[in-house]
Amino acid sequence: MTGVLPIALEKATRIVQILLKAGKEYICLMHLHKEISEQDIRETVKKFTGEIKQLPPVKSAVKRQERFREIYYFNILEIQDKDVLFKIGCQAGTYIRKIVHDFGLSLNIGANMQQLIRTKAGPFTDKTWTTLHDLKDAYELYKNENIETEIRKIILPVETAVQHLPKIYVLDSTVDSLCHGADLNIPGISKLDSEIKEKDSVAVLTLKNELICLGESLTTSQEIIEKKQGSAVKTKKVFMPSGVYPKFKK
Amino acid sequence: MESLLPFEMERRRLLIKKEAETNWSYGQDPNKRTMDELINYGIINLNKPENPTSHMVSAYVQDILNIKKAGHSGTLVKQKL
Repeated sequence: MTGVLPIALEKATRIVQILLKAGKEYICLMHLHKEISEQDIRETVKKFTGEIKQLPPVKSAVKRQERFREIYYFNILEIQDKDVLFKIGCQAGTYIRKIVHDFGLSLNIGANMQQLIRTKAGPFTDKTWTTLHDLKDAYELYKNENIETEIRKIILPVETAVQHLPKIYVLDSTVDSLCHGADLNIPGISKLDSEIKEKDSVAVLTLKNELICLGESLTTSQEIIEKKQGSAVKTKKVFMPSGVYPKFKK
Repeated sequence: MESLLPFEMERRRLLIKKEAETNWSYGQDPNKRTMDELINYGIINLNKPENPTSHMVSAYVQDILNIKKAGHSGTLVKQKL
């Protein structure tokens, strides 16, 4: 497999855990073991769209029991004889090799995966990816000639990795307590995204757009706007060290 | 053809709970971080090549940037065809 592989550096390393849970998109080349009509292929695509049941493969990181996965879209790009090129958007933890195998079983002809390219991992896509080679060149240019323009296009602020999450922005006076691991209460909030639901993963940011922590929403956007008191977010993973913002007395 | 992940279809609006200013004598706009700060606290959207494993690619990145830790998300491991 090739494709989008976000790599987080040093103190940002733990941010990859939120990307593990993010939706993915792949382009896959499937090889069918017998010729079959385009109509049959298209009918089978419908069976593998929406909620599907999947048994993780023998060699997998998770417990081997059937589980539901959501296939957001499954678009055929090209059919040439027994080869089918498709683009698939899916929930985290969907095994594409398994989909291809099951696709072949469903048609009673068999199928295997020829090639797989990841084109989206949450907010990171094939539109903006970079190669190891370009990274090396850009870094050399920076180290040897002190030119930052190229490397700055490649090494992005950690906040780039939470673009897909709903966000809550807090008052300066609230930042330090979150850095110590405290939960976020409604009075500490300045701005927030609409559409937040209970149990959503949310990113908590400063008013300067710096990531403070990731957490789980304990309520909805609507309730945060309407209520004066109460808990808003259970703090899960803190990224900003304490001491960046001053301690404020209550 | 529709090809948007759920979060790409969310119509989020920014709601104001309490108007507030931020004090620029501490903290920093993420886009104003120095190169050293970015290398110590940044992320790269890499196009993984076919053959090395994700672990190996992370190790290459560590070597190139001369850093101790680089983590990848998920198992883009080499799969047998």
